[in-house]
Amino acid sequence: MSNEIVNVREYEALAKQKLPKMFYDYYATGADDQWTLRENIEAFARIRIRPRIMVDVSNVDMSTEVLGFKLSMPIMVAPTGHQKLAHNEGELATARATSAADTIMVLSSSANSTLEDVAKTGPGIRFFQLYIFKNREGVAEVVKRAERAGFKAIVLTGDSPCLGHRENDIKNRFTLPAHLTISNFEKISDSSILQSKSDKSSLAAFADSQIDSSITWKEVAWLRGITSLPILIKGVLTGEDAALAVHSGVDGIIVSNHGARQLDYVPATISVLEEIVQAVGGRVPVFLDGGVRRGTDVFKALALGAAGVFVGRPVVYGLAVDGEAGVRKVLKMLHDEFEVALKLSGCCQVQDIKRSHVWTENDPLRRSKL
Amino acid sequence: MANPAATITNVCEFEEVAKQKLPKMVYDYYASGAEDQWTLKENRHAFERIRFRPRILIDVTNVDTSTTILGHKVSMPIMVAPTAMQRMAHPEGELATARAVASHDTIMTLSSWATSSVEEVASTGPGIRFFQLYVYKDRNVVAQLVRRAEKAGFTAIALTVDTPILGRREADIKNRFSLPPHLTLKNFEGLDLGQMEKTQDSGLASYVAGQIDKSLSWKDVKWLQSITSMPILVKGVITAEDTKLAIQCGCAGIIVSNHGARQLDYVPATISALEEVVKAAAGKVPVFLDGGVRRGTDALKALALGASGVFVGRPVLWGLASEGEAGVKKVLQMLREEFQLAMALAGATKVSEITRSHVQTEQERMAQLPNTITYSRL
Repeated sequence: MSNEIVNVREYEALAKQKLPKMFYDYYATGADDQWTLRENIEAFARIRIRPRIMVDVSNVDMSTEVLGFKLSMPIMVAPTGHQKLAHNEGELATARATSAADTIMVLSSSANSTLEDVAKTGPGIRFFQLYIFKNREGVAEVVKRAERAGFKAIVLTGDSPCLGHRENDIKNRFTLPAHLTISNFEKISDSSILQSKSDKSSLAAFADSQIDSSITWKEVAWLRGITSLPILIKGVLTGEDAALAVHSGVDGIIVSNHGARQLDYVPATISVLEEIVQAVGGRVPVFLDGGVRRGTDVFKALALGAAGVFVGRPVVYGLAVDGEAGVRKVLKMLHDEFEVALKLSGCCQVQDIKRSHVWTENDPLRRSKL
Repeated sequence: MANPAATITNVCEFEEVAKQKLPKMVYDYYASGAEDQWTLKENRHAFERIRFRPRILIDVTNVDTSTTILGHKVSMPIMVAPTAMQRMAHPEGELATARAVASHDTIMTLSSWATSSVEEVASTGPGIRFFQLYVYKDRNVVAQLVRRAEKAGFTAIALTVDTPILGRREADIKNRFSLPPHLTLKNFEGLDLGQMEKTQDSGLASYVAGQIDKSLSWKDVKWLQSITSMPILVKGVITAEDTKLAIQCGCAGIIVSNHGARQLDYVPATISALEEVVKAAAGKVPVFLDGGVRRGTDALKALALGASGVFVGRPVLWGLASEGEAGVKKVLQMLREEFQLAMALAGATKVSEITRSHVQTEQERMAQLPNTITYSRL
């Protein structure tokens, strides 16, 4: 049997073998009982596709536009922290692979590479994920650096006033190796906490001491005052907050439960997507992250109203196993699977995907009268 | 580097430690549910079926977990349920629990079947304590007990109403459970009711059959009120009908409980029964819950569904068995920290800000408006 990797999940097992336990656990873990971690995946499995056959699918175009930027596919790279724990090229390898795939990379605030170094890898459409630290001036400075480095949007994380209870990180007493840091915030935050030894997770200690837990929707206005970049809000899980988001003037919403790493027992993102899409009523694009492992997952999310999806862990696992080549392969596999899903469902382009292409648990069962 | 497995990161992990430490008969006594133990598992599973609807971008710099229970200010709406015979878990038994609970500024409920007396528990120092009561056939015994509890500074009675006879706990039958000979039910010492006979059965079941009043009914709640001024909580209600009867009898509160799934198997999980009781109570008395609380998120779910507070039973025993007073303190500390974190991530800064819309139950998901699929005729 060949050793060919045939789907994105296979990278996880390989990454687990390759990475030191503490690093693998950091990426893999969810919060508490990790119920939502499993549910993010299982909820996709409960959605059925209703394919239309005998449709001419000889010319399939998977491209789409996100905030005015043309992408090869509605599959983008989510912000995941500390990528140099996976591979020594870290975010730079991810940036190269993502540009090669003609899609968007979101750089994490917890990156071990600077905005400028990522920009230097070459042309590419990149967003910057932002935590608002207590040092507001410092945050403003980083946002301006992102602008100058050619990043095209800010992704504001709204679900992390404090860090979720990630038990493996506590058990492993997670700390960042001495040679790494959160490069973009090194000077404006007390990043040495990340290397401190304690009986807990240093990430939680860092978050508790540095992250501003008082932030509210007013922060969107504050951000607008310091940048002209579009602002996406990441972490919305309710229709109420979707309405507040639109009201606050964001340019897009990412339905996210932070990879199931924050509050356990929140629904899977795919389960609440429709609620948010309906609350937004088309005023801004709605995206999703969490549990995307197959081209069919992408198809389901788009059928339920998402304008695109972000993938997190699969990219990190590809990076861990094979650096830039691994990430390229992950993105290519998702691209190719999505293409197959489109064709077999009778769609030639992203706009052809309709709500009627999927059946969810909320939908009535049609029974034959026979 | 320290052994990662040595760090206990949640309350359930204390159970494993306790299981290794305790004699089988003792562990089984604490852990068992009745018969198939379906409700025992369901008490946990039902919590898993409830999902949060967290509100983001709320200033959660100061999250206050404190609340008031029957007029007493407590640090969190998480209290200690009555669990019997705690000196089987640890030599200091109920006294260790009392100290740990007092240090956390929350409420301890002492079991009638404690291996320490109300006076001994009171002597550990100040603390808010309730007394759980079984009504014995000998009403004089009950009256004396209630008066002693009052004198010892206990401030409420938790009347157990789901135990006219003991539920069928098969492990206790197999183990021929009985109280270890060096221990006694301290509150009945000297009344010749403090020991359990060795039988071919569960010694406790025989004890209950012999001593506990099967005829207990709602009129006895009124009798109880006549012999004490302490507020009476009724523990073991799980239906709307009994909620209304309890309120009619003038109870001060209701504890939705299935006795740790040790009485009637195949009753619902307490978290599943909670809303029915809350609606029937219509705000007239506070409603509490015990059964299956293992996470801060469980407490948050119960409060969102209308509980004024929750009680934890077995986790306290496991902490006690593992590390005595320090173990109980850790259990309460973990639950408090988890509860505070859950509040912050859900967007509630005070217990009063926890609302029904912070959770979504299974029934709500089922009832969601179906999306009708239109079929094109093409």
